[in-house]
Amino acid sequence: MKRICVFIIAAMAIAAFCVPAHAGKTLVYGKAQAAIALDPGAVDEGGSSSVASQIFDSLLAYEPGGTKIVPALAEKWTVSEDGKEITFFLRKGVKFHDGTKMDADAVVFSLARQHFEDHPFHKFGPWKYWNTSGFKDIFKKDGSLKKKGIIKDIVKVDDHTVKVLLNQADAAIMVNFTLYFTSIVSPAAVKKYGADFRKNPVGTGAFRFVKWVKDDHVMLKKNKDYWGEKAGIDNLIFKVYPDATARSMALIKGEVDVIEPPDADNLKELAKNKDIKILSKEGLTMGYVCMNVERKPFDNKLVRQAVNYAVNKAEIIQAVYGKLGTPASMPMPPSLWGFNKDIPAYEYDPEKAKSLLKEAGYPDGFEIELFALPVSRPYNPNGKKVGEIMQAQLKKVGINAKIVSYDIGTYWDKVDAGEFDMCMTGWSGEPDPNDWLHRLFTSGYLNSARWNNDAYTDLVNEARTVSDIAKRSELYKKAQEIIHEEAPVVMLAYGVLTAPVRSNVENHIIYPSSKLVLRHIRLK
Amino acid sequence: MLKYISKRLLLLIPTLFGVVTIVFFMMSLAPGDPARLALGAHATPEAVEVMRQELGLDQPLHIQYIKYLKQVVQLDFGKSIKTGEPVLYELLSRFPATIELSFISIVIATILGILAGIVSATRQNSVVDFSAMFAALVGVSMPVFWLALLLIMVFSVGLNLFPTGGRMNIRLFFEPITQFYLVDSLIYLVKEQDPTYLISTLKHITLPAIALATIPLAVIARVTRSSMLEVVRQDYIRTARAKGLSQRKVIYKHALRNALLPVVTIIGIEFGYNLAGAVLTEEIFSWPGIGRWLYAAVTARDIPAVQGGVILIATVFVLVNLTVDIIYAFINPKIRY
Repeated sequence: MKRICVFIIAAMAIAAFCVPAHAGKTLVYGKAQAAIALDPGAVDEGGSSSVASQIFDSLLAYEPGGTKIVPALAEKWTVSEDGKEITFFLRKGVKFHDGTKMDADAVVFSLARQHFEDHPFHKFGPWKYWNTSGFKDIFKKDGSLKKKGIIKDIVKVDDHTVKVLLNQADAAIMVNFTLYFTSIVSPAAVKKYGADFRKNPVGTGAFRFVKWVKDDHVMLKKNKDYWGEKAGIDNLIFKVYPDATARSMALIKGEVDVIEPPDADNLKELAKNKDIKILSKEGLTMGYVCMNVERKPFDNKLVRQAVNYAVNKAEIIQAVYGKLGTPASMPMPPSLWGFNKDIPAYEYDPEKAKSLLKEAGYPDGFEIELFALPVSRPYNPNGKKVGEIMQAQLKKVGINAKIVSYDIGTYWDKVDAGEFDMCMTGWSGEPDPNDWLHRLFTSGYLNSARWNNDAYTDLVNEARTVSDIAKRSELYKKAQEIIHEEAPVVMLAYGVLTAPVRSNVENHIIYPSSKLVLRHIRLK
Repeated sequence: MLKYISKRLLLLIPTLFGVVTIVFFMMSLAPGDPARLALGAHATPEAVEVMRQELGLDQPLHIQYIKYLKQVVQLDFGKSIKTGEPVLYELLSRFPATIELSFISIVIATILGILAGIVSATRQNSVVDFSAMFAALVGVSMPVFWLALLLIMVFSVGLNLFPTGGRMNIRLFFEPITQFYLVDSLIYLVKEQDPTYLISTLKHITLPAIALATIPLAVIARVTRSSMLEVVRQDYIRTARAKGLSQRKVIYKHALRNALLPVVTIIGIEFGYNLAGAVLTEEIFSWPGIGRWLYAAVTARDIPAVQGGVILIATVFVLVNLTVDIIYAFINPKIRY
């Protein structure tokens, strides 16, 4: 009997040894850009954040596939009457992947290391996203930003309660607590790895980090102790395919299961394949053209309106965006609360454009330079092509546009310095109107059209200080009336997000904010 | 011989000094503000200014240059702006992938190129010669990215023979040891009698190696041919024939050995090019090597990375050339120092 027992135990030990270390269902995600760092606070681009988002959780989250804010690591939260005190009540019993407890200390640590320059772990930045998120803003009446910090302090109340104290009420920063850069990291792991934490990420997310071969792939494993809806797959691999055509072919061959969307041409090819589904959802992204209101002739409102009437958006969308865009009217996404549906978009009307130009004192038109975006973005897949079509359309009303372009660094330098007549730009933002109407059209550095309007600025500033959504909504709607009338930009398109997947991939949910969440996926 | 080698090694110093100088000033002439690019489109002007100071970009150019020279002498190429990692580490971690691919492609190019060259030379002005040389011309002129996509479409998607990209089937969860996947998968084969990894590695390297081999193959074929044609007209070949040796012996023993001397130089140079210039091949075949890394660094205006990358690649290039020259000296009895 004893012998039999020993034999059985030995056999079991051998069998256990033989079981492949990576049994279970594996999903391979084909992405365009390689990750740069995996510390969610230290990154600000999609190549890294798409991976980090699987490993980490923030205090709050979006409802699956929507823009409503729901609890995550914080079970609930309250905002004080004066709006200057946010209290987070943390979920109990949550553990980091390294087994340490997620508690108030961890939350304070994760946020404070980014905010306070004298924090011992502040030096492992730069905390790029934090610094531009609004946490460091103090807005003044003229809309200008002062880099001092809206956050006064982040304090632990008890083991499961954290208070964020503000210098100034700001309803718009709530959304930051849903984003990856405010993810809660394991303080034990940060202390252990130091600067190398970005290569050894430890969070509370639905997947835990396994390994990373730079420029090639990142491997994650299901977190069996996840506090929320557990992942439907056991292994998750992010594999880099920089070339869009090669990436599409890898999907056709089944080497990958989901890919980051390629360009419109490849998307058309993929749509013909019966083994592939193309999922899509209207995203929080928009492409537009700024007119430099500090330069003649765009200092004249009538000229700006004329350009709006002269541009035929339908033609541009059909030729360039295809299924990746829908015509835009207001400078914020229509799916977001506060969007003003009652204002009709500028219709294509070259005759009206001509008469407006005449009224403005330019009966024979004029010559300008049009900056064409040199890179492909979700909000503008092909700037050069958009430029050529606009050039032809403007020509019909007597405006001669010369298309110019630079490398992307020089392009933004010139746009920021106001060294342009018309330029293409766009924005992929967060589900709060402030991120669109305030950020892009008050005198901050992202106000590329250099347009300033006191009545408008007052409205969007006021909307930041009240916390009631209905009230904020009203203020934003009024602000949109002004910006529509003043027309500092030509709105082109709202971007549509797509995700080509193999037919065996089920329940892949696209988030409008472009956040990638892969734990919902089930494999057939 | 030792004197020759040490002289050549000493000459490396001014060469590399020149490389460092040229690279430094070319990068400073390039448009675009690296601090701005490092921080992204959403950065505030204040943040950009702080970053400029951190990177030392606010100082006069000659001071920046002297500082940089001091660093380079200590083999410190600075940290990548994009990743925050030391440039040397970033580069070395991507070198195995590139060396492996370059090596396999140069082996393919050498074997096929020399064969094609011999066949063309021995059948000069025949149909075989013309078609081989025409193919070589096409090989040199064909854009690599186009050929690469074509190879994927035909052999990967169409015929389903090879994967589309990468170094290894990712679903095999391969654990590399040396980062040279061919070596690693051979170790696994010997240790565990499991050929799965080796097969996968070979399948993955085939298409990119072919794409990368076309240009060197064409060049090697043309050089072999012309060199052979020159050699077969020499007196000693006539003597060999007069001795009554078979055509085979004449070509392979007497002619080829001498004809290969210039080919050795060409192979060295082409290997050097492959190490540095596989950008497009690596991009399309998702090969995580040095070319792609350098390309990404250039587009991100990651100045320390570009400078370090170019200097190291130039060093490797110079070293490969030096090695070739030394080999040349060994195999060519006419050169003695």
